[in-house]
Amino acid sequence: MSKVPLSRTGDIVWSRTSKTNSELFTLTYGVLVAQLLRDFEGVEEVNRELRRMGRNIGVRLIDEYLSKVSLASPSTPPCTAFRQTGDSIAKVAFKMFLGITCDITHTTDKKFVLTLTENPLSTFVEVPPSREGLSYAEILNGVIEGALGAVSLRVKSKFMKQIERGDDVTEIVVEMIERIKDGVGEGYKDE
Amino acid sequence: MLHTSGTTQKHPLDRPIGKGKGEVSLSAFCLLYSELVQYHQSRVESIADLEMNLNNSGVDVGIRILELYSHRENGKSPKREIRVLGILQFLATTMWKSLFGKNADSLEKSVEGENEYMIHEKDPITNTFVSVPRDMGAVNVAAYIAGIIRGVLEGANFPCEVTAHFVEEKTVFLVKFKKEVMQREAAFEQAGR
Amino acid sequence: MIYSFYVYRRDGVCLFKTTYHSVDGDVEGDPEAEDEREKLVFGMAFSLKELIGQLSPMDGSTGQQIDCPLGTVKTKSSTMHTYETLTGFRFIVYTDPSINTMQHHLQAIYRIWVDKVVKSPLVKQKGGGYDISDTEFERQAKEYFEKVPGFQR
Repeated sequence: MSKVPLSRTGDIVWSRTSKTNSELFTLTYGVLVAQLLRDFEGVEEVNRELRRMGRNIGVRLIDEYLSKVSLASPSTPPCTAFRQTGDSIAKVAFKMFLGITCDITHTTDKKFVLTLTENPLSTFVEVPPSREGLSYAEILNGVIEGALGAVSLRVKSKFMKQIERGDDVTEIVVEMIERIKDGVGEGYKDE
Repeated sequence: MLHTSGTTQKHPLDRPIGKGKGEVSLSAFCLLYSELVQYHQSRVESIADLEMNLNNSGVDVGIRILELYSHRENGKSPKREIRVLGILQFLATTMWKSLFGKNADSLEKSVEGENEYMIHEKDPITNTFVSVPRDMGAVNVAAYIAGIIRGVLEGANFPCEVTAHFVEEKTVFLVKFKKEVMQREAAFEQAGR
Repeated sequence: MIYSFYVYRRDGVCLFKTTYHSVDGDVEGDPEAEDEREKLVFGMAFSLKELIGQLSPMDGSTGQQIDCPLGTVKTKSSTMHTYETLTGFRFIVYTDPSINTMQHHLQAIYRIWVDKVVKSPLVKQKGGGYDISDTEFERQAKEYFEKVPGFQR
């Protein structure tokens, strides 16, 4: 089995991906955040709503990731170790969806840090002091949690640094909480 | 004012505004857009209201897009479109191309009304992955693009209404300019501009 | 001949089912019996996978059982083909025993599923699954299966 480096897989998938203008993406996200700021009272609620939306996206996005990556690199084995999961996110998933790669540091076997030097969600954004506490790109944390949750990994994802708040880079810490056991749910048992 | 104590922090105004050539995957856009649609959907009673909310969201985007473009174009040929056809052509070619990677399929004057124009688009990006469930009837989620069009036009001082319609499986954006626009247009005609 | 097609999510809730060719003694049109069958199909796929999992060898390096997804279950009268995604969707087709493999077809169906259901903004998510009253997936899946050799017999 020939081993394709992950960054290569990322490039292959990206080259085959239909793409669109990133400004439309950035502005659409901006409209969504602005709408939530109008509809909800506090920034905490907005953060929570963004995270919830992110989880929805993650749950959908992982299916696309799996169906595309198996085509680009049939030899890519499913991630058995959490380390591999992190590397795949940094080198393949970010490339495949946002066109960027990020650096990854494994702090332990169950924890890694993703470092982004740019964030397409927030190209034109600075969080104003009046909205201090708004985690503008919070949706990203939700996406990571949602996507990994769908493959039975419960994780916690949070920002350490955010470009939108004036930091030089965005840092996301992802920590594994547990592997979710497979099992049938209420809908099935209920006979 | 900046908070936090970053070291090499850059104010967004100091970051280059870019040439607008950046790309993300179509899926990323569609998944994000999907959340916007579902968010609005959860807060309205009718399909008409859903389309209206998407339209309003689009307007905010359109206004900003116009600003970005004017900023980029200004360096080259500072020109402000003042005629209806000029601005519509800018929309259906320059802007369309950069946002959607192609020109609009066609731009036509409607035979129905003096103030009506139609922009045809076979596959609007918002509808890429849409399959309409049975209970949703004829909702057209391209209402968002209709909003973007309105935002650009109104930002350029062409007040109007824009709606998205399905016509034989294609989407048609119907632009209806307000009376004052047509009066101004007539005045230009008379002045021979 | 392809008899029927089911999509389940991880916890066993049936998201989609359709019958292409009914066989004698079929329960079509009897909602209660259809529900029962829908549960039996999932139950069989689920329990078999559990059993096989317990019987499969250990992976020396991790000390865990090697994950072995269920593929095909063949009997004299019919064959059940299953494809399970890492996200827990199970795509199951029942065919007559002359069809040997459907795995790559089910993978193709998964891609249709991703495009037409997972990514469609109007398909509502319902407790981690999808609310499928979606005509496009139904149409494209049927179109796809019709091209599979042996669909009609």
